Amino acid sequence: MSKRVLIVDDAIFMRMKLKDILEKNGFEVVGEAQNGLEAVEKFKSERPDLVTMDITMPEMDGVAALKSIKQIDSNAKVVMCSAMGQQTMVMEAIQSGAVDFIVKPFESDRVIQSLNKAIR
Amino acid sequence: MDDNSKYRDLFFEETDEYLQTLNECLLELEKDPEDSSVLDEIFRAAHTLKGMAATMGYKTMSELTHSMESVLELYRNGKNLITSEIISLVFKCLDRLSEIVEDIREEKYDEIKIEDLVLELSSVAKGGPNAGNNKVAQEVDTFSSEMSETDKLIIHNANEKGYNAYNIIVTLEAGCLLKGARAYLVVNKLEQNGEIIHTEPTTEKLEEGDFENSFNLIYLSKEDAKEIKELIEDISEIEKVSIEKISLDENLAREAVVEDKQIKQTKEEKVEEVVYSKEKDKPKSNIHHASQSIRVDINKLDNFMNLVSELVIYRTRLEDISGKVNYTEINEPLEQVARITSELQDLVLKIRMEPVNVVFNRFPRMVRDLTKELKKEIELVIEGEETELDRTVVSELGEPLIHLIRNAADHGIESVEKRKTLGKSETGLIKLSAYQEGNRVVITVSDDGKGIDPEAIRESAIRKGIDVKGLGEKDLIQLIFHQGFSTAKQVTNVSGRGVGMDVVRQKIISLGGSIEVHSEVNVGTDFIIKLPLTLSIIQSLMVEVGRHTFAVPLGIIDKVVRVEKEEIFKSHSNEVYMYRGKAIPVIRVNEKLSLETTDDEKHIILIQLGDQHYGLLVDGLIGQQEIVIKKLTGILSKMKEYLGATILGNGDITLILDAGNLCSERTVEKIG
Repeated sequence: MSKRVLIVDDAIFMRMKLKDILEKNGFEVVGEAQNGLEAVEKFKSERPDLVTMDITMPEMDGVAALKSIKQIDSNAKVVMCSAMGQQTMVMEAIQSGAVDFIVKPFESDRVIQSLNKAIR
Repeated sequence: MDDNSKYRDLFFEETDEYLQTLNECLLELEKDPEDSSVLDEIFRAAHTLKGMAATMGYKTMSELTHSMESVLELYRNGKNLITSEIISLVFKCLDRLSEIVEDIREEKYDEIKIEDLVLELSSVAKGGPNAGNNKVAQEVDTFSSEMSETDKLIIHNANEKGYNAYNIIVTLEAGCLLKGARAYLVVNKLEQNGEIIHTEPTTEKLEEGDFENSFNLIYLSKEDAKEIKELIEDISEIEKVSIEKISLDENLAREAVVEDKQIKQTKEEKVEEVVYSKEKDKPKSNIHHASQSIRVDINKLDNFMNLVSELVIYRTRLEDISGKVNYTEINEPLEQVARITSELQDLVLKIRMEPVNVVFNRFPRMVRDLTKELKKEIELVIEGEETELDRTVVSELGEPLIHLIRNAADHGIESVEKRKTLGKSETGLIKLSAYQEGNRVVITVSDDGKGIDPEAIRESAIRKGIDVKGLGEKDLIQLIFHQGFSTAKQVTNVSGRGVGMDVVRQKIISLGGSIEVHSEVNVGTDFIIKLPLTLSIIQSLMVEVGRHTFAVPLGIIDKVVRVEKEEIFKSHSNEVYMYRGKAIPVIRVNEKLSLETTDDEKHIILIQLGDQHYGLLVDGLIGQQEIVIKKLTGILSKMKEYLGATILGNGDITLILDAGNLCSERTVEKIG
């Protein structure tokens, strides 16, 4: 069965791009959220196998969303999506239980490799 | 490289939005430099743009946004204070970004140079008070490549407790980004099942990513080598993991036993927690009522609109035919079709509506720039920006409004000194407002500046050889819309060479609207623009002129009256009709269109353009009808007398009269 993924990013563009990469590689995108609060809500309702989480977002940033999700389900698999220059945030995310991170600009291969490993 | 071409449209759309957000937020920040939430938003927008540009492979754009972001970061942590210089610099960056985006849109890549801005940005970044004062001072590498005595001791003790010590070399994939975080991920994962007692390079360097592609770890764990290896390999972007078990020389170990007590203190220090949720208790409301929406290509909507229009045409034809055949059973379904078509029509019109905000939102920035350029104090107040209009109208509206606002700033608002001597507040006010009134939208541009002096207009008009005899003050002011007229004594950069106002009026008229001006010396000037909600389907009055049928848009008609020949008077060379005690000019439509007239009963259609009434003399009235405007193309489009054409129920084609044009030509004649 294909793995169910929740995509979180504030830019529609990024979500489209990621969704495309994922669907081409046999993942099922079960939801999209454009900020941390939405992400937490969608996580509760969809219970995805995996979450890709952007870091900089309005309302609630990715790290805070990660923490909330981890409180809901400590086994939740969250892969952070970061850009260059967000080292501290990524580290905080890892500290808070993110399984991996991918760096923008996204390259399909790397994204898929990371997600496959994260989900194992 | 991935194929990104299909994301282009989306990319542009979102980029435009983010650039707009940046502009707006910067203006806000300028007003209140200490508002950290605005700064955060700016930072986020710049950051998102960077990510998007990088993903699309637009290098120049991502470089520039990256530099911007780095500078903004300095201000974000609150150490540097926002100055108007930095805001101007970021504005400059935004302008450059817009240029770059425009270029990309036209498929020109990396032609615009950004070095100057990047240089400026980096000099700001360096010039900051905390320049060169990196938080984590670089320590000299205190760890030798040899294991320290303490390490050996720890390993010895660990061995006794059943832990194994491993020397691990992790090599990251070439091109791995954020190496520091990647390394941290490895460290973090390993620490869940054991303890890292030594790293090469140091933990700090490791976390900063200050190493080539590989690093060394000494790791204590009960797990066996294979499991540890798998654990690390489970992390992405790891090229290679080599692991070997360390066995200590017994002698060394015994020596080390003495310093047993140190063991407990050697736990790796955790990275300090960075509290990053700067987000204050922002209202969380907007996620809840965010309704689902999709983006649609405007061409599809235009197409949809056209199809609905066709449907309306054939509905009218069907109604026409059913009136003739006297087949009653058809009436009920036909009524339903009529109802559904008008609902459909309503719907497509609504879909095409766009808030005027789309045009208005660029003005705060424009006025800010004008303020700097003209060295005046101007405040722009915007009201009713949520008012909606047909998309086509909205997109055409920008140009005339820019013109009016520039005029208001340049010619209207006086200099600070002048305002002081006049006893006005130092800050001039320009007000832009929009509201819906029936089936039209009214947009006003007002300023509290010096107003238009009718005497100045009179002098200028006489100099230009325009006949001003018999014109009252109000009429004189209307002359500003006359072709080739300008009262500005000097041509400035900001506004006009005297070609402006008539172009503005032409534009508004071509959108089926009207513009009028009210002005009082030293009090201010108001421009009032009235626009139809939509351009494509209108209610109209069908009239007869010389056995031909024409349509007149209902929106501009004030009243229709039947007249006898004697009720039309001659005054000077023109004919007038007395309406509410006022003489209004009469236009014989048949003369305008060079048609023969019948001697049948005559009607005057009273129309209002701006605050001026006109009477259109037509032969007969046919009735009211909903018509679909089809634009005239080719050579026909040069015929100014017509707005367009429409297809009637019986299949005939009828021209739609452009009343504004018929009447305004007369005014020009009168003046000229």
